[in-house]
Amino acid sequence: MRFPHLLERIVSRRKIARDIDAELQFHLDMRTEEYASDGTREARRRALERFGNVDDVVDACRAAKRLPPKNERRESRARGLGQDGRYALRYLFRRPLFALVAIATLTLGIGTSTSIFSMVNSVLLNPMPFEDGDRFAFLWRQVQNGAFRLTAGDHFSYWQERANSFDAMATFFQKELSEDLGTEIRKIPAGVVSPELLSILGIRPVLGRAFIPADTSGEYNAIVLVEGYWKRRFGSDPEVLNTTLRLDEEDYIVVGVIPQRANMFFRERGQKDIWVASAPGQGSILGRLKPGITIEQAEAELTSIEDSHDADGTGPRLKPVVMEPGASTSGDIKVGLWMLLAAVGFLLLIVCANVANMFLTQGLTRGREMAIRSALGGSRGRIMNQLILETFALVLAGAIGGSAMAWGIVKNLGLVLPENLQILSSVHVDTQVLWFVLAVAGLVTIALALAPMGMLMNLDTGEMLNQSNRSGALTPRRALLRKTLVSAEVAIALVLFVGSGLLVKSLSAMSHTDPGFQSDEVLSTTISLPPARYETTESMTEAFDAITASIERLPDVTGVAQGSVPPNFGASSATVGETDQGEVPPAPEGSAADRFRINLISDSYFSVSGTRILQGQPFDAENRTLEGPVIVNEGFARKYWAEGKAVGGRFRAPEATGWNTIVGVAANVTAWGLRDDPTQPQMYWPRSRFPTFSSASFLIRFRGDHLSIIAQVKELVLAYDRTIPPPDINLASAGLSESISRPRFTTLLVSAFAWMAFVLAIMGVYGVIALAARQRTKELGVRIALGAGRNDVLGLMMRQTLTPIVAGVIAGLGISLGLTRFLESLLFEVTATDGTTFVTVTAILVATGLLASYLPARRATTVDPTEALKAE
Amino acid sequence: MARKKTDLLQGTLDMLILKALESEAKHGYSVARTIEHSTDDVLRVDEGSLYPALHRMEGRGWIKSSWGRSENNRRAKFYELTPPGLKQLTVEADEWARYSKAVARMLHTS
Repeated sequence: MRFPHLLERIVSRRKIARDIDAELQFHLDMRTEEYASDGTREARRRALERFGNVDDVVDACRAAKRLPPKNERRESRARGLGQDGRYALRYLFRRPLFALVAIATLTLGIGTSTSIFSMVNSVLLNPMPFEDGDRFAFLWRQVQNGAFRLTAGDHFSYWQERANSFDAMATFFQKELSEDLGTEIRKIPAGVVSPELLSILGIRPVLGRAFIPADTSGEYNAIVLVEGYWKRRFGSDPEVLNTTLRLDEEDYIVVGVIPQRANMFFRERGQKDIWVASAPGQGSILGRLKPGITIEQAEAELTSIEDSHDADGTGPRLKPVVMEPGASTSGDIKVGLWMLLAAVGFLLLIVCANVANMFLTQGLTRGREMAIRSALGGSRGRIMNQLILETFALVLAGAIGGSAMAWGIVKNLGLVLPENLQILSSVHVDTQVLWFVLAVAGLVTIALALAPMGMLMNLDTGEMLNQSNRSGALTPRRALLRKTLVSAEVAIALVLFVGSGLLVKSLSAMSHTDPGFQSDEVLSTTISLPPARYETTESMTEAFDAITASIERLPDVTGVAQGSVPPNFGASSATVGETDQGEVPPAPEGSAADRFRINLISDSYFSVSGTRILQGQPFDAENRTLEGPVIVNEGFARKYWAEGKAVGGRFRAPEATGWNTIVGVAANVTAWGLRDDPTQPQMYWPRSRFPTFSSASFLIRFRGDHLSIIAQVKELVLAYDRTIPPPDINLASAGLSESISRPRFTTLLVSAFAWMAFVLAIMGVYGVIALAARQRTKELGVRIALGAGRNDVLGLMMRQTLTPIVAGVIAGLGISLGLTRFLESLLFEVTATDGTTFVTVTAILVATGLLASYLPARRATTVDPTEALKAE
Repeated sequence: MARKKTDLLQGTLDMLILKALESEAKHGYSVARTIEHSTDDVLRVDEGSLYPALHRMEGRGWIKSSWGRSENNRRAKFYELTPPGLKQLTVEADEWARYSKAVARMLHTS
């Protein structure tokens, strides 16, 4: 063919195909006529019999013309495919060890990556797994430059009437209701929603009905049970409809049961047992954008509505904010998940490399088999089919195993997750995850089939058949391929190892950090008063003070203090507008730089918590009478005043009227978990400056056995008022360790991946040298027979792996340096380029790699020369 | 049909096809018939291998094909020998003659 044009070629190919059909048709007709003229009956059938299988002849003619087999004949192709499939399965069954190891490896890779993808999918990609969930948005109002996010209020109806960007809006919040069971008071986590929320989510009740507007008329309280709770508590009894639950001393009528998946709406806010109907307007706002409207358009519309609304009103300017559902997920969960997905992706690559390596090893014996088949007339297409089917069978088994594994992991995720990662308990395996599995399986199949296919392309029948006599020496090309795979594995394992090393080091730094308060002999708890019984500030103060006094009287308790929040949890944040040193320019939008935390504390707070007062005094009866007395932390003092000059300093919030006077400077306390910056400004106000809230945090300093103190404190709380939900009381140090549970979880997973990758990479290294040793048995025997020292031979063999290991290490270090900066936000007191980690990890990997190659290499040197020579 | 039919020796099909085409261009069916007739139906052509062989030989340039009219005026594909094909025929025929002579001598002498 002279450089044919593609089109011309297609046309000519079709013509050739037609010609072949016509030619054979002519032959059959002629033969039929011949038989018919002889008087033979069933001439056509005889002619066909004589001819043989027409399809095969057509294909043979097409093959002679370099055309693919006729594709209209699906049946015969399917038969061929079925045959190839049987060959493939037979091949695998004859090598159960190979098949099992390959399937196990693939299961591991696909299973872990699918589990992590399910998390990423549920938390980041598809946070609202509801109909039209991608059009959901949360609506807030934000104090400018501040973090106060104000929720619905009367703006809800105002926005609902005027905003055209949304086709539906609803409000929701969460709370705990207490149910008096006689013997104990149980807390029931509840979602409080406006009636239309269920219909926006597209949730249909499994029993009874959804909420209707009349449910919020105030004449009765309506609730729906979540399916799981209905099962647990009522044994799925349908009679539960229209019964009454007494919660917080009020009656609630059960109007329906909603499916468990409805709870995915509350995501990190945790699983709810019941949903309560409330009039719209309270809590946060969920809006469903009209199709085609963007978040920005909606925000612009709300802003203009707000501007016209504000024109007549007063008060601080509030900026409407519209957020995607996933946007509120905390940053380090996002980074952590993406990192896990990357880690598991790397692991999957190693899995592919390892299985490909196994295929190549098999390929040595394979080459002969294929050469024989090819010599016996097996077409390349068919052999290729078989190869792909073999790979596919393995990958399919791995994918099924992997999906089962992922399903099992996701199902039990809630059991192993730390409390503050409960967002992941909403993780689910959905169609997107199944698509992911399919895509991964497809890519893996392609990647794996490439290696043997490349081999097939270079298949020279004669050469391969000849080679079989020489027990299949490693062709340079294939040896290079294997070495490249090993390098890649080492590189990837190194990247994962460095990542996990950095995280482990950072975790250890977190556990050894000084939290700024003494946590060992201090109990921490939060007590919430049931609002139905405590309506006035006075009654709340009275209750908390009485409880404090009774705890103080316990013999082993040396001090009790109250705060509005536990010491290791930062509360809300606000900004500084002006100090006695001058005005503080507003921080750029969205920056946390000028926000500070507030804790409202009793006078004994610092002596109980053990936080040092660096300058000035703790609160006492005297300094509490100053104008706006406040104690700030060191971070705050350093930020605005010269060293040691903060006491007596004054400051105020933007647009605030009164001033705060600093009476003392306290040591920095690590808040919001240990990864947080402890120098972030914090201030303490005396509890007496503000009305009491319905919940307070208690610090109790004690001696002796904490369990007995905890029991006694619980009793005292119950003795004061049986309707107060029993508080969770923990060692303050437990709170700290919980605050690092999230990084610990991430670190655990990344380390697990790194170790898997490590083991697989070592297996790869071992495999290369072991195979090389096996193939060179004869050569080594000759060398030894000719007087080469065992050490020379050992060195010779070891050099074969050293190159790919070193190449892998260099590549791995380069990739690590490029990638670890993405880890920066997850690291605590460790830089992303921590030298020690890099060096240690590299050393471990190289040492293990060399050891893995040493063992088979040494075995190679122990060959008996005579045996080796006879081995042929 | 009493006589026993012998299957073609492997490798001889090409030669017989070339021989059949030596005198004139023929279509496939006619090639098959020629081989059968001129060997008194002793050699029976496996039709399943005839056509692939024709196509293969065409690919090698020994024969070339064109569409024409058959004796009963039907459209048929005719093959004719090319100069390289003719050369190949002589080579193969010589080879065959030497081979069969050797076999015959072997059979008669021992």
